[in-house]
Amino acid sequence: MAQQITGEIGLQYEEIPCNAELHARLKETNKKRVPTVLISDPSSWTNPTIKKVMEDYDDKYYLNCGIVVPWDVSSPSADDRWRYLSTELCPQKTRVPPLNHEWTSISSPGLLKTKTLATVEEIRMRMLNNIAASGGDIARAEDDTLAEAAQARGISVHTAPIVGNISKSEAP
Amino acid sequence: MPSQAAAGKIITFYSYKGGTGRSMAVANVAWLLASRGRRVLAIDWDLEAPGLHRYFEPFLTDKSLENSTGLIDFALEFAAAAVSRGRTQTQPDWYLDFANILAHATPVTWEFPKSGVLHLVPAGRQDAAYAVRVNSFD
Repeated sequence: MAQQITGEIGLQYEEIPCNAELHARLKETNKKRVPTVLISDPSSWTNPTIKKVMEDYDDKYYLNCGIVVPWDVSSPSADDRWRYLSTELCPQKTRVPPLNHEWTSISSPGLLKTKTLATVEEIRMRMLNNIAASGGDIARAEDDTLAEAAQARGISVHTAPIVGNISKSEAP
Repeated sequence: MPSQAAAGKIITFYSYKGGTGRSMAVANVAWLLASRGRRVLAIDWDLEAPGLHRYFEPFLTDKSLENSTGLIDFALEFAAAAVSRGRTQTQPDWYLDFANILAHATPVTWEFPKSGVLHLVPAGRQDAAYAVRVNSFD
């Protein structure tokens, strides 16, 4: 599913295994500003490795990182799982969920796909806007020939066009 | 790079509110021009409520546009390239690969007389994240 989603929106896909190396990989993706989404299966939370990873994750806050959890609200163990998650695994991130942390809102395979897609895009947009706002390493598209051709046709290339009401005095 | 003589004429349809028949007018004028042998590119700039593709739906391969990119995807790809650290910034023409709007055009499949053609650039891929892209793009 993750591969399909990233392929559809033209991104590269890389799977990160959920093991003791996960934290280091998340740190790396954060540094490289790579949108990263954790897909967490509640039935795996009692696994000691996964439990440790989730506990560690609760202490980290990365703007490039989100989490999606397929949540079967009708499951007899749903309440127990939530209690376990919110008291032992991720008490901080469940009490005040950061952006793009979908703990219990995904109740069907269809929602899993759409929420994962939306999560990837929201993170990507946040990364783009952050880089743009930082005013740093942004390349500009500048071409003198194109600019002159546009100028010759009466198109200003030095200021952004202004869309607004034409006052009566300006109206033809 | 097209020559000046090959440059097309840009016609913008604008209105202060929705529901005035703007998209219908665009679709009809585009079709009439193509029927007269013109090469027409219709672009849906109504990012908040795109609907131009619905007029051409019977003639589109991807009718729901779930797999077709458009204007917002064009802008996003360009922005992503502009902030990409991997790109060689010393190349003055780095943007050319990302400035080709025709890469996002989808053909309206109809045999117009006099070699007329009509292509559509939709507002963007109509999937679950379309609203995210439009609302978050600064």
